[in-house]
Amino acid sequence: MRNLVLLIVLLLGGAAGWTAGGWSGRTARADLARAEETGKAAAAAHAAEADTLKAKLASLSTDFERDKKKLEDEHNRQSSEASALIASSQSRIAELSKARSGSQTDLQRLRSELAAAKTPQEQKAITERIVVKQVEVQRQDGQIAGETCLAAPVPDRLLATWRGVAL
Amino acid sequence: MRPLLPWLLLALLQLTGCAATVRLIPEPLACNIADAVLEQRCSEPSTLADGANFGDLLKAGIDDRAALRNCARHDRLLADTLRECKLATERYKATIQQINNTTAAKP
Repeated sequence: MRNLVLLIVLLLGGAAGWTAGGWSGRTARADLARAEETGKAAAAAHAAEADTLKAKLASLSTDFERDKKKLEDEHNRQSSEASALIASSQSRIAELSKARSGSQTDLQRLRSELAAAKTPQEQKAITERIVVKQVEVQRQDGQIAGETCLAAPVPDRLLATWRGVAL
Repeated sequence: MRPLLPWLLLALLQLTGCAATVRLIPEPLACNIADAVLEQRCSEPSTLADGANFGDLLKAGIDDRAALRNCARHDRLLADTLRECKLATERYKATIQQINNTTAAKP
Protein backbone atom coordinates (compact mmCIF):
# COMPACT_ATOMS: atom_id res chain seq x y z
CA MET A 1 0.00 0.00 0.00
CA ARG A 2 2.75 2.34 0.96
CA ASN A 3 4.60 1.60 -2.22
CA LEU A 4 1.47 2.29 -4.21
CA VAL A 5 1.11 5.70 -2.59
CA LEU A 6 4.75 6.45 -3.29
CA LEU A 7 4.27 5.34 -6.86
CA ILE A 8 1.23 7.61 -7.24
CA VAL A 9 3.15 10.53 -5.67
CA LEU A 10 6.02 9.88 -8.01
CA LEU A 11 3.69 9.74 -11.00
CA LEU A 12 1.94 12.94 -9.94
CA GLY A 13 5.29 14.62 -9.42
CA GLY A 14 6.38 13.44 -12.84
CA ALA A 15 3.16 14.72 -14.41
CA ALA A 16 3.60 18.09 -12.68
CA GLY A 17 7.18 18.31 -13.89
CA TRP A 18 6.11 17.35 -17.41
CA THR A 19 3.40 19.99 -17.45
CA ALA A 20 5.69 22.68 -16.04
CA GLY A 21 8.41 21.76 -18.49
CA GLY A 22 5.94 21.75 -21.36
CA TRP A 23 4.65 25.18 -20.35
CA SER A 24 8.16 26.55 -20.15
CA GLY A 25 9.05 25.02 -23.49
CA ARG A 26 5.95 26.48 -25.10
CA THR A 27 7.02 29.98 -24.07
CA ALA A 28 10.49 29.34 -25.44
CA ARG A 29 9.03 28.09 -28.72
CA ALA A 30 6.80 31.15 -28.96
CA ASP A 31 9.81 33.40 -28.33
CA LEU A 32 11.75 31.55 -30.96
CA ALA A 33 8.93 31.85 -33.48
CA ARG A 34 8.69 35.55 -32.75
CA ALA A 35 12.42 35.98 -33.16
CA GLU A 36 12.29 34.05 -36.41
CA GLU A 37 9.44 36.24 -37.63
CA THR A 38 11.41 39.36 -36.73
CA GLY A 39 14.47 38.01 -38.48
CA LYS A 40 12.52 37.22 -41.64
CA ALA A 41 10.88 40.65 -41.65
CA ALA A 42 14.26 42.31 -41.13
CA ALA A 43 15.80 40.23 -43.93
CA ALA A 44 12.93 41.17 -46.25
CA ALA A 45 13.32 44.86 -45.35
CA HIS A 46 17.05 44.57 -45.96
CA ALA A 47 16.57 42.94 -49.36
CA ALA A 48 13.98 45.53 -50.41
CA GLU A 49 16.11 48.49 -49.31
CA ALA A 50 19.25 46.99 -50.84
CA ASP A 51 17.45 46.55 -54.18
CA THR A 52 16.12 50.12 -54.07
CA LEU A 53 19.55 51.50 -53.23
CA LYS A 54 21.26 49.40 -55.88
CA ALA A 55 18.83 50.63 -58.53
CA LYS A 56 19.23 54.24 -57.41
CA LEU A 57 23.04 54.07 -57.43
CA ALA A 58 22.97 52.42 -60.86
CA SER A 59 20.76 55.23 -62.12
CA LEU A 60 23.13 57.87 -60.69
CA SER A 61 26.08 56.12 -62.30
CA THR A 62 24.33 55.95 -65.68
CA ASP A 63 23.46 59.65 -65.51
CA PHE A 64 27.05 60.47 -64.59
CA GLU A 65 28.51 58.46 -67.48
CA ARG A 66 26.06 60.09 -69.91
CA ASP A 67 26.92 63.60 -68.67
CA LYS A 68 30.63 62.80 -68.66
CA LYS A 69 30.46 61.71 -72.30
CA LYS A 70 28.44 64.82 -73.16
CA LEU A 71 31.00 67.08 -71.44
CA GLU A 72 33.84 65.30 -73.19
CA ASP A 73 32.19 65.68 -76.59
CA GLU A 74 31.43 69.32 -75.88
CA HIS A 75 35.03 69.97 -74.83
CA ASN A 76 36.43 68.26 -77.93
CA ARG A 77 34.13 70.29 -80.15
CA GLN A 78 34.95 73.55 -78.36
CA SER A 79 38.67 72.82 -78.36
CA SER A 80 38.92 72.01 -82.05
CA GLU A 81 36.73 75.01 -82.89
CA ALA A 82 39.01 77.31 -80.86
CA SER A 83 42.13 75.85 -82.51
CA ALA A 84 40.63 76.41 -85.95
CA LEU A 85 39.62 79.99 -85.10
CA ILE A 86 43.05 80.79 -83.69
CA ALA A 87 44.75 79.23 -86.71
CA SER A 88 42.64 81.34 -89.05
CA SER A 89 43.26 84.60 -87.20
CA GLN A 90 45.47 86.07 -89.95
CA SER A 91 42.89 85.53 -92.67
CA ARG A 92 40.22 86.89 -90.32
CA ILE A 93 42.34 90.00 -89.74
CA ALA A 94 42.53 90.46 -93.51
CA GLU A 95 38.72 90.12 -93.81
CA LEU A 96 38.11 92.55 -90.96
CA SER A 97 40.62 95.06 -92.34
CA LYS A 98 38.90 94.97 -95.71
CA ALA A 99 35.49 95.46 -94.08
CA ARG A 100 36.88 98.25 -91.93
CA SER A 101 38.27 99.98 -94.98
CA GLY A 102 34.81 99.82 -96.54
CA SER A 103 33.23 101.20 -93.38
CA GLN A 104 35.75 104.00 -93.33
CA THR A 105 34.93 104.88 -96.94
CA ASP A 106 31.20 104.89 -96.06
CA LEU A 107 31.94 107.16 -93.13
CA GLN A 108 33.81 109.66 -95.31
CA ARG A 109 30.96 109.62 -97.83
CA LEU A 110 28.40 110.21 -95.05
CA ARG A 111 30.43 113.13 -93.71
CA SER A 112 30.46 114.68 -97.20
CA GLU A 113 26.71 114.15 -97.42
CA LEU A 114 26.29 115.77 -94.02
CA ALA A 115 28.23 118.80 -95.16
CA ALA A 116 26.00 119.08 -98.23
CA ALA A 117 22.74 118.46 -96.35
CA LYS A 118 20.24 121.28 -96.68
CA THR A 119 17.50 120.60 -94.18
CA PRO A 120 17.81 119.85 -90.43
CA GLN A 121 15.86 116.59 -90.94
CA GLU A 122 18.34 115.50 -93.59
CA GLN A 123 21.25 116.42 -91.30
CA LYS A 124 19.72 114.48 -88.42
CA ALA A 125 19.19 111.35 -90.53
CA ILE A 126 22.76 111.44 -91.85
CA THR A 127 24.17 112.07 -88.36
CA GLU A 128 22.36 109.00 -87.07
CA ARG A 129 23.84 106.90 -89.89
CA ILE A 130 27.28 108.31 -89.10
CA VAL A 131 26.94 107.25 -85.44
CA VAL A 132 25.95 103.74 -86.50
CA LYS A 133 28.90 103.55 -88.87
CA GLN A 134 31.30 104.84 -86.20
CA VAL A 135 30.17 102.11 -83.81
CA GLU A 136 30.72 99.60 -86.59
CA VAL A 137 34.26 100.85 -87.19
CA GLN A 138 35.03 100.77 -83.46
CA ARG A 139 33.79 97.21 -83.28
CA GLN A 140 35.90 96.23 -86.30
CA ASP A 141 38.96 97.87 -84.70
CA GLY A 142 38.36 95.90 -81.51
CA GLN A 143 37.97 92.64 -83.40
CA ILE A 144 41.17 93.28 -85.36
CA ALA A 145 43.03 94.07 -82.12
CA GLY A 146 41.70 90.87 -80.53
CA GLU A 147 42.63 88.67 -83.48
CA THR A 148 46.11 90.26 -83.58
CA CYS A 149 46.49 89.70 -79.86
CA LEU A 150 46.04 85.92 -80.20
CA ALA A 151 49.54 85.55 -81.63
CA ALA A 152 51.12 87.95 -79.13
CA PRO A 153 53.11 86.39 -76.30
CA VAL A 154 51.63 86.62 -72.82
CA PRO A 155 53.79 89.05 -70.78
CA ASP A 156 56.06 87.23 -68.34
CA ARG A 157 54.60 88.94 -65.27
CA LEU A 158 51.07 87.98 -66.32
CA LEU A 159 52.20 84.42 -67.08
CA ALA A 160 53.75 84.17 -63.61
CA THR A 161 50.52 85.37 -62.02
CA TRP A 162 48.48 82.96 -64.10
CA ARG A 163 50.65 80.03 -63.06
CA GLY A 164 50.18 80.90 -59.41
CA VAL A 165 51.63 78.68 -56.72
CA ALA A 166 51.88 74.95 -57.33
CA LEU A 167 50.59 72.90 -54.40
CA MET B 1 33.54 0.55 -29.77
CA ARG B 2 30.26 -0.60 -28.28
CA PRO B 3 30.40 1.52 -25.09
CA LEU B 4 30.99 4.57 -27.26
CA LEU B 5 27.81 4.10 -29.25
CA PRO B 6 25.39 5.62 -26.71
CA TRP B 7 27.67 8.63 -26.21
CA LEU B 8 27.99 9.09 -29.94
CA LEU B 9 24.22 8.98 -30.35
CA LEU B 10 23.89 11.46 -27.50
CA ALA B 11 26.42 13.77 -29.13
CA LEU B 12 24.64 13.54 -32.49
CA LEU B 13 21.39 14.35 -30.73
CA GLN B 14 22.84 17.74 -29.83
CA LEU B 15 22.96 18.59 -33.54
CA THR B 16 19.19 18.86 -33.58
CA GLY B 17 19.69 22.14 -31.77
CA CYS B 18 21.05 23.54 -35.04
CA ALA B 19 17.91 22.65 -36.98
CA ALA B 20 16.22 25.99 -36.52
CA THR B 21 18.67 28.77 -37.35
CA VAL B 22 17.26 32.22 -36.75
CA ARG B 23 19.12 35.23 -38.12
CA LEU B 24 18.34 37.81 -35.54
CA ILE B 25 20.93 40.34 -36.69
CA PRO B 26 20.53 41.28 -40.36
CA GLU B 27 23.50 42.39 -42.42
CA PRO B 28 24.25 46.10 -42.57
CA LEU B 29 23.12 47.89 -45.71
CA ALA B 30 26.00 48.05 -48.20
CA CYS B 31 26.71 51.29 -50.06
CA ASN B 32 28.44 49.92 -53.13
CA ILE B 33 30.27 52.58 -55.11
CA ALA B 34 32.32 51.52 -58.12
CA ASP B 35 36.09 51.63 -57.56
CA ALA B 36 36.49 53.64 -60.77
CA VAL B 37 34.28 56.37 -59.33
CA LEU B 38 36.26 56.50 -56.09
CA GLU B 39 39.58 56.54 -57.91
CA GLN B 40 38.67 59.40 -60.23
CA ARG B 41 40.38 62.67 -59.35
CA CYS B 42 40.01 66.22 -60.60
CA SER B 43 42.60 67.22 -63.19
CA GLU B 44 45.42 69.55 -62.36
CA PRO B 45 45.18 72.98 -64.04
CA SER B 46 46.80 73.35 -67.46
CA THR B 47 50.36 74.57 -67.68
CA LEU B 48 51.69 77.21 -70.04
CA ALA B 49 55.23 77.16 -71.37
CA ASP B 50 57.40 80.25 -71.41
CA GLY B 51 56.65 82.33 -74.48
CA ALA B 52 53.04 81.12 -74.67
CA ASN B 53 50.77 83.45 -76.59
CA PHE B 54 47.23 84.59 -75.81
CA GLY B 55 45.84 81.91 -78.12
CA ASP B 56 47.51 79.26 -75.95
CA LEU B 57 46.14 80.98 -72.86
CA LEU B 58 42.64 80.85 -74.33
CA LYS B 59 42.97 77.14 -75.14
CA ALA B 60 44.26 76.43 -71.64
CA GLY B 61 41.25 78.26 -70.27
CA ILE B 62 38.93 76.08 -72.36
CA ASP B 63 40.67 72.92 -71.09
CA ASP B 64 40.54 74.06 -67.46
CA ARG B 65 36.91 75.01 -67.81
CA ALA B 66 36.07 71.55 -69.15
CA ALA B 67 38.10 69.89 -66.37
CA LEU B 68 36.28 71.95 -63.76
CA ARG B 69 32.88 71.00 -65.16
CA ASN B 70 33.92 67.35 -65.20
CA CYS B 71 35.18 67.62 -61.63
CA ALA B 72 31.99 69.32 -60.50
CA ARG B 73 29.90 66.57 -62.12
CA HIS B 74 31.95 63.91 -60.34
CA ASP B 75 31.59 65.79 -57.09
CA ARG B 76 27.82 65.81 -57.64
CA LEU B 77 27.84 62.06 -58.24
CA LEU B 78 29.68 61.45 -54.96
CA ALA B 79 27.37 63.76 -53.04
CA ASP B 80 24.25 62.21 -54.59
CA THR B 81 25.56 58.71 -53.87
CA LEU B 82 26.31 59.50 -50.25
CA ARG B 83 22.93 61.17 -49.83
CA GLU B 84 21.12 58.14 -51.28
CA CYS B 85 23.11 55.78 -49.06
CA LYS B 86 22.34 57.91 -46.02
CA LEU B 87 18.63 58.04 -46.87
CA ALA B 88 18.51 54.28 -47.49
CA THR B 89 20.27 53.60 -44.18
CA GLU B 90 17.85 55.87 -42.34
CA ARG B 91 14.83 54.25 -44.03
CA TYR B 92 16.17 50.79 -43.24
CA LYS B 93 16.84 51.73 -39.63
CA ALA B 94 13.29 53.10 -39.29
CA THR B 95 11.87 49.91 -40.79
CA ILE B 96 13.88 47.73 -38.38
CA GLN B 97 12.72 49.86 -35.45
CA GLN B 98 9.15 49.48 -36.63
CA ILE B 99 9.53 45.69 -36.93
CA ASN B 100 11.08 45.53 -33.46
CA ASN B 101 8.30 47.67 -31.98
CA THR B 102 5.61 45.56 -33.66
CA THR B 103 7.22 42.33 -32.47
CA ALA B 104 7.69 43.63 -28.95
CA ALA B 105 4.05 44.74 -28.78
CA LYS B 106 2.78 41.25 -29.57
CA PRO B 107 1.62 39.25 -26.48
